[in-house]
Amino acid sequence: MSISPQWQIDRGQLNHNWLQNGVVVALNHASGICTGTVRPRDITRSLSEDINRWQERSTELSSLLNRFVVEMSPRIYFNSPPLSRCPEETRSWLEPLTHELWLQRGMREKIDAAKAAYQKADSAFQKIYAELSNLPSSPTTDDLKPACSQLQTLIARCQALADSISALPHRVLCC
Amino acid sequence: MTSSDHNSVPNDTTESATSSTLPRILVIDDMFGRQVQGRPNRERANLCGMYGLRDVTGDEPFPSDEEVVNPTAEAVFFRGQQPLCATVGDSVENDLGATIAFVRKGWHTDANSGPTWALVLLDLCFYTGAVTPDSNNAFAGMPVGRAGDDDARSYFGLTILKRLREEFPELPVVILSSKQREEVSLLFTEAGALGFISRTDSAGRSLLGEYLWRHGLTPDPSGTVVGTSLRLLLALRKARREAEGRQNVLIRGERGTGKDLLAQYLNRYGTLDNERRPFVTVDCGALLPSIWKSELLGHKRGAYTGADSDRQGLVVQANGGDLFLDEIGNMIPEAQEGLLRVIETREVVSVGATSGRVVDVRFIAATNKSIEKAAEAGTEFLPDLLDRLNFTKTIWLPPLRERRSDIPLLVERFVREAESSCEVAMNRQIRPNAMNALLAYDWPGNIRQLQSVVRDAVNSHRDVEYLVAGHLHFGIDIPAEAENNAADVIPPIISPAVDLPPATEPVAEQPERPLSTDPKNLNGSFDRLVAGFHEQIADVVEACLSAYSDPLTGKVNYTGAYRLAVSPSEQSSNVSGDAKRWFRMLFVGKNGLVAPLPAETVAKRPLLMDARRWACGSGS
Repeated sequence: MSISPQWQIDRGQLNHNWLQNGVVVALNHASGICTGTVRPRDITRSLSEDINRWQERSTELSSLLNRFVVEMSPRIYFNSPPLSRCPEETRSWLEPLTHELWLQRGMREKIDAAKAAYQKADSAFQKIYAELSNLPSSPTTDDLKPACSQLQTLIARCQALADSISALPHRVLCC
Repeated sequence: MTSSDHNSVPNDTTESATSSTLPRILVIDDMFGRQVQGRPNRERANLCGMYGLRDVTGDEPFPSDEEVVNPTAEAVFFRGQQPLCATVGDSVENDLGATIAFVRKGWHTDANSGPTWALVLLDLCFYTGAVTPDSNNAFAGMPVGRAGDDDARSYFGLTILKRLREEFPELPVVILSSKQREEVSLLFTEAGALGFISRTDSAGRSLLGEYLWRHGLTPDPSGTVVGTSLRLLLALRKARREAEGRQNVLIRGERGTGKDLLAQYLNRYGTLDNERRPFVTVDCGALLPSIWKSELLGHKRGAYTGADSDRQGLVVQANGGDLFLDEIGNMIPEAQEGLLRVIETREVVSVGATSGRVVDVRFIAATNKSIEKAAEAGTEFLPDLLDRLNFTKTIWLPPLRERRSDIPLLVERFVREAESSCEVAMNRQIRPNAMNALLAYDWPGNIRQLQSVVRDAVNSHRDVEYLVAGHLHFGIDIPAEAENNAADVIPPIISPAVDLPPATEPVAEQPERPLSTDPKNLNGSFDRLVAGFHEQIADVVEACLSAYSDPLTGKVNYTGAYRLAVSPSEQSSNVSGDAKRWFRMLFVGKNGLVAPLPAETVAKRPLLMDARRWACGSGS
């Protein structure tokens, strides 16, 4: 028995489309600016556009992770037949037991890992925002060097975040 | 939802015209291939920057505000879905038919005279469904997605991949995806992809370059080996693969196919690092008994009378690079022994030297002979050297008749070369009748012969602005070497009759008559009709054979006659093989579904009798 709830659709939008295809690709593009393989007309504006992509939907992503435990838990099966017909006195212990068993079978670790990865990525972005705000209006390659190495760290953390979100289940599983 | 016509590309993209030598790749991806109204596709621009791609799709409404430095390839993007440019309220659906049609547009077909795909980068997961205000705000024109879109068992990218493998088996496809490789590796491998690039891999640009080198169908960017036909590109790719790791290589092919140019190509592009290395050519037939040692191995001062100084041999000159042994089948046995020693020991001992010198040389040998037969005879070629060469990689260069679509490029090159080498020659246009004649001929002497014919035409007609069919003199030239696979060699050149009326005219000229329903007239009418039909087919085929008959010798160019009779859309790249099969079908039928020409119809026509002997063997 399985359900594919809205959370799964939102995960596709946020993790696959926005984070991986949007943010990580933009960061690699920014890395290209720093190394000189991409030459935009306005370096500072291009870099800002790339790195500010995080701010577009990072709050939504954080919210998605917080929603996971509620929306992807098998306890939601108790909201629909046949389990919704379960007597209240049985449901009162069976539903939380189902949820707890699900968490104990690796789910707690996975969601905690995803949340930790989010925090690491977010703090790396805060650092690079500070770095960018110190750049001159027409930065040279030397001016961009500190940002270059931070970008690599940022890309790695975003990728780790994306991987941890991909590792969460794709369906509400029965335990 | 816009309905799709699988025979055309809706919301047509217009590719930018370029004269670039960059390979052209096709990227099939829902997000990066989508068209965006009113603003640049920022995601696509970022992807291009990341992978070193120059976007030539031609659907961007605004000029790019950045430049990709030293791009790896030109890229055309395609969404794989309908509509290509979606807005709020639209429903985005996968469109396999339009995708395949788009791929076909850029593949090796008669309808395409432009650049062809070197490689396809293919996404796996395509999101479908409604475009809502929220999803449009996130990514313009992108849908919300449906639950099954993200299910690995039903990735639309795998559906596309399987169709591509069926319809374009030689087209290299590499997956470009943000999915984790381990999750999808078995799926895409079984479906026929050649590799995988993670969309989030920072080394994606160099990885793409590697895939293009190893799998891409790319012409020679230096222009040394001219051509863009599929046969040639497959040979170039095989050459790069076989030469990887600087292994010795044997190049085989008919005379005049450009084996020396392929050797130069290997020297330049035969390794991934594209480093320039020494390239030394040895004319093996010119190594006479008195000079081969000194030429090949070098000598010390005083080694013999006349050796006034040290001399580096050709092998040492090629140290660190490639030694090209042209026509190794012509090398005298003593030189073969000396060469064998060098190949085995990787050491050169000059004449008069007391010790050897270690060398790092790749040996690229070329021959149009059957050195196996010579080795069997035991006199002309050393079996040990043959064994050494047979352990190396072998690359076959196709004859010109199997890569006819390259003829226009070669003709253009040779015309300009001939004009520039002859100061007074005028710059000329090549008329269609001349090009058709050049395309129809079978070139037993291959590219060298083509060059000779074109040069002769230019030199003989210096003061004209056009190259026409009448300027071309093909001459009679039968290949001397039996190794040119005599069974398939077409009899020599005959100038085609360019004014032959289309074959359909005899049929079209039949007066239309109203069909009589009188039983007396209909009695036996079908048999009479079939007999008349056979006579007419025989008349047409005989006329085509006659057009390609040499009036002096009576020899017939069967491939030319076939090309005249059968429309180009029915012809494949293996025209000589097609010609034989087609004539055979005329005389023996096919699988009980196609009836042969009646024997009495053929017996009345000597040209058909000869054609039957050629196609079916002399016993028929």
